[in-house]
Amino acid sequence: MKRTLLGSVLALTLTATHGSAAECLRVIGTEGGGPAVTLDPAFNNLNDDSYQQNLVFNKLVNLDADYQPIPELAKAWSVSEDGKTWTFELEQGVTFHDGKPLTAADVVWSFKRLIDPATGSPGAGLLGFLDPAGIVAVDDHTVTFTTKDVVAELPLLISNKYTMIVQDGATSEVLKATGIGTGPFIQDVYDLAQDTRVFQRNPNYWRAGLPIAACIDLKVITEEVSRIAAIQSGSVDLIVSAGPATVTTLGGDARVKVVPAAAAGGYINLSMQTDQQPFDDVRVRQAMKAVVDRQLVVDTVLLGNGVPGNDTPIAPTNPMALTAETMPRDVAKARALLAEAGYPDGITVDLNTAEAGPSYVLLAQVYQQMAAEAGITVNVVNNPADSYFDVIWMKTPFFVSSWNGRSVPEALAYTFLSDAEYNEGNWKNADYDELVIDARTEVDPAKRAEMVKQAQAILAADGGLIIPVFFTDVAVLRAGCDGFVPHPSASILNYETLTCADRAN
Amino acid sequence: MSFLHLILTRIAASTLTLVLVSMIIFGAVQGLPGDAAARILGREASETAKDRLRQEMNLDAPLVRRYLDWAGGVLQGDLGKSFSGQKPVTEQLLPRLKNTLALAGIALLLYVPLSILPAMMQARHPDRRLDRTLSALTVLILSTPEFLFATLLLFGLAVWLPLFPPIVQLSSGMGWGAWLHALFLPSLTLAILMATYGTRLLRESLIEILQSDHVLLAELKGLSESRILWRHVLPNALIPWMNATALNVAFMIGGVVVVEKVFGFPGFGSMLVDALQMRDLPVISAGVLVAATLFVLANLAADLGALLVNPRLRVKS
Repeated sequence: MKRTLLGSVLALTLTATHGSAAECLRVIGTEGGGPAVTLDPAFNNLNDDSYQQNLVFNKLVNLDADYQPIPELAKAWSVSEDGKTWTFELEQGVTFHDGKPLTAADVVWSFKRLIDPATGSPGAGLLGFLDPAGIVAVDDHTVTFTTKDVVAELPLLISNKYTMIVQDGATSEVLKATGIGTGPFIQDVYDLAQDTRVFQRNPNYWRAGLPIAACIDLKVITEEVSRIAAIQSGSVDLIVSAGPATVTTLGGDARVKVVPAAAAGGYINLSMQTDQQPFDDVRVRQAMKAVVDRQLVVDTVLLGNGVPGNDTPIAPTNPMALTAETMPRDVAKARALLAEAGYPDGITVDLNTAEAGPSYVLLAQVYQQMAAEAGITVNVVNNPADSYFDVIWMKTPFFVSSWNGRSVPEALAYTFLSDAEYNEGNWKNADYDELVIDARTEVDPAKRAEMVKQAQAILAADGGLIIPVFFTDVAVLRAGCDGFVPHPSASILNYETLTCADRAN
Repeated sequence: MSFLHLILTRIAASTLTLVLVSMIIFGAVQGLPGDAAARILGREASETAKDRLRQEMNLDAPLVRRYLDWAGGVLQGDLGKSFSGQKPVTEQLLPRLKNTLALAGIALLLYVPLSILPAMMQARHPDRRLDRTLSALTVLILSTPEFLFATLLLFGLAVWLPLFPPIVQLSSGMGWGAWLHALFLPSLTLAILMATYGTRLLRESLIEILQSDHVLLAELKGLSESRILWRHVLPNALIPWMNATALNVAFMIGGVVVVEKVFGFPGFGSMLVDALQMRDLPVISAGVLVAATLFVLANLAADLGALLVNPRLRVKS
C-alpha cells in the first residue's frame, strides 16, 4: 500500500506540467481585496484595486516619481491667460478594448461621473475645485477644464488613483467586474471565486511596441513567507510591493532581484488629537515630537528601507520639503517642555495600534522606548486589526496610522486642512489653511514653494502628527525578469515594459 | 426498532443542534464590532457612500426580523447577497467549498494510511527503536504550530526540492493531473497534521488490545501475526480512532484556514477570513453555518460508524 502511494506521488510530480496559464507572467500583490475588489476607478480603495486597474486603464495625465505631471492620454496641455481654463489635447488613434475610439466625451464623462455626488466616489473630495459645467469637450480630441478660481497645478491635481478614463456612459454597476479601458492589457479570465485573474496584451495599444508581456496573471498572497517561497521557487515573476522583512531575507539571493522605488513614498505616523488632553497643549505635542530619534526609526522599524521625516507629509528628499536635514532628538528639551506645560514628573498616555498596516505595532513599541527617557510613559494598546479603522482610527486621542505617497498640494490638504475629512489630529489652524489654499492659486513656482514651506513649518511646530519616517516601496523580480520599477505611490503601477527572458512575450 | 430508534434520536439531536447553532451564529455575527460599509468602501470612503451602502445592506431592521428572513432564505437554499461582492453568497461560497472539500477529501485519503500504518508498526514492537523514533516524530509535529509546519513543508517541497508548486493556482481548463499536482502539497500538510494525533491514539489502543485474552487465544490457535493484527486487533482499535477522526475533521475546519493561507489556496477557509475582515455578514453567517453543519455531520457519522462497527453499543442498557 505504501509503495503504491509513493509511486503515485512520483508519477504525479513527473507527468504533471503547468497549464497554459503558466505562459503568462505571474504577478503577486500583497494587499488583497477578496470579493470586494473592483475594476471601477471611482472606487479604487484598496491596493488590490490599483493592481488591476492600472492594467486596463490609462489616465489623462500621470505622475512621475517626483509627482510631476507627465502626458498619458493627454499629449499636451496649456492654460489660458487668466489661469482659469486648462486645455488638454488628446492622443490620436487611441481605442478602447472593445474597439471604440477614445474621444473627448469619454474624458468629460469620466470626470463628471467622479464628482457627481450620486456616484459617491471617495475621489470627489480631491476634485472639489472642478465644476461639472466647466468640463467641456471642445472637439473630439480637445477637453477644457474651466474653474471658478485659478488652480495653478491643475494637471497634477486631476491625476490621482480615481481619475482613470472610462468609456462615456460606463456605470459603477458594470465597471465593478468589467474594465473596458484604453490600457495596456485586456481583461480576460476574471474569476474571483477561483482567485484567477488573467489579462491579455492589448494588440492595439496606443504606445507602439508596448506592452511587452503577452499576458499577466494577477494574484494576491497575503502571507509574506508564501510570497518569498513563491519567488524563490521561480513560479512567480514579480512581487509588486514587498515589506522590509522580505527585502532583508531576499537581499543577496541570486534567484531574485530587489528593485526599490525611485523615491520614498508614503509615511507611517503617530497621530495626537489636538482637542484631547494632554495633546491640546502645543508644548506637550512638541515634547512628544522631540523624543523621536528619526534615523533610529528608519533603521529599526523599516530596516533601512526609507528616509527620516520631519512631521510634515512631504518627504525630505523632495525639493518642496521644509528641510532636507533630519530634526535631531532632544530629550532635555522634551523634559523642559513638559515641565513648562505643568507635567514636571512626566505624563502617561495610551498609544493605540494594531497589525492593521505594515510595522504599526513595531513603531508603537519603538516610540514607547524612546519616549520613556523623557518621562513619557506610553502604554501600547494592541487592538484587533480587522476593526481598527472603524473603531480605533480617528476615534481615540493617540493612534498609529499611515498614508500612501501623494503630490505636494494633495498631501498638504488631504489630511491637514481644518475641514479635511481625514484630519487625524483634529487640528485647526487658520494660517496653515490660508497658506495651503493660496498656494493653489499662486502661479509663480518660486512663491508657491515658499508658501508650501511656510505651511510645513507651521504644521511641524504646531500640528498633531508625528511623522518619523517615509518608507521606500520595493518590488521583487525573479532573476531573468526586468522592466518594472515601483512608483513611490503604491496606487501607480506601470506594467508596460515588464518582461521575462524565459517566458513567452 | 431499537437500532433505528437510536439512529433517529441522533439525527434529531443533530438537527436541533444546528437550529440552535444558527441562532447563535446570527446573533454573534451581528454583534461583531466594526462597520461593514467602512470595511468594504475603505477607510477613505465618504459618509454618504457609506450611508447608502448601509441602507442597501438593510442593517437597520430589527434583529429577530432579520434572523427569520435569513433562516427562511437558508431553508430555501438562499444564503443572501454578499455585501462586498454584490452577488449571491452561494455563487461565492460553492466554488470555494468545492475546492476545500476536494482538499479535505485528498487529505482524508492520505490521512488513513498515514495514521494507521505508523501506529501498527509501532504497536507491533513497542519501545523498540522504530517505535521511539516514530513517537518522537509525532510529538514533534504535534507541538509544532500549524503555520510553522505548513511553512516548513512549503520551503522543503516547493523551494528546496521543487516537486510541487508553492502557490495553488486553479483554472477551469486544467487537467486532472495538474489539478492533483496543485492540491497535493496542501493536502499532505493537512493529512500529516491530522495523522499525528490519530497515530498516537491508535498506538495506545492497539497495544492494549494486543495484550488482551482473545489475542492470546488467537496466538495459541496458531494464527499468523499479520492475520491477528489486521483481522482481530485493528477493527477493535478503530473505534476510538474513528472518534478521533471526527474530532480531526473539526480540527480540519480550523487547520484548513492556515493551510489555505500559506499555499494561497482559493478555499472556503480563506474566504471566511476575507469575509471576517470585510465584515461581510451574510458570507460570515453562511460560512460558519456550513462549517457547523460539517462538524455536526462528521460527529453523526462517527456515532453511526461506531454503532455499525461495535454491536455492543446497539444493545439497550
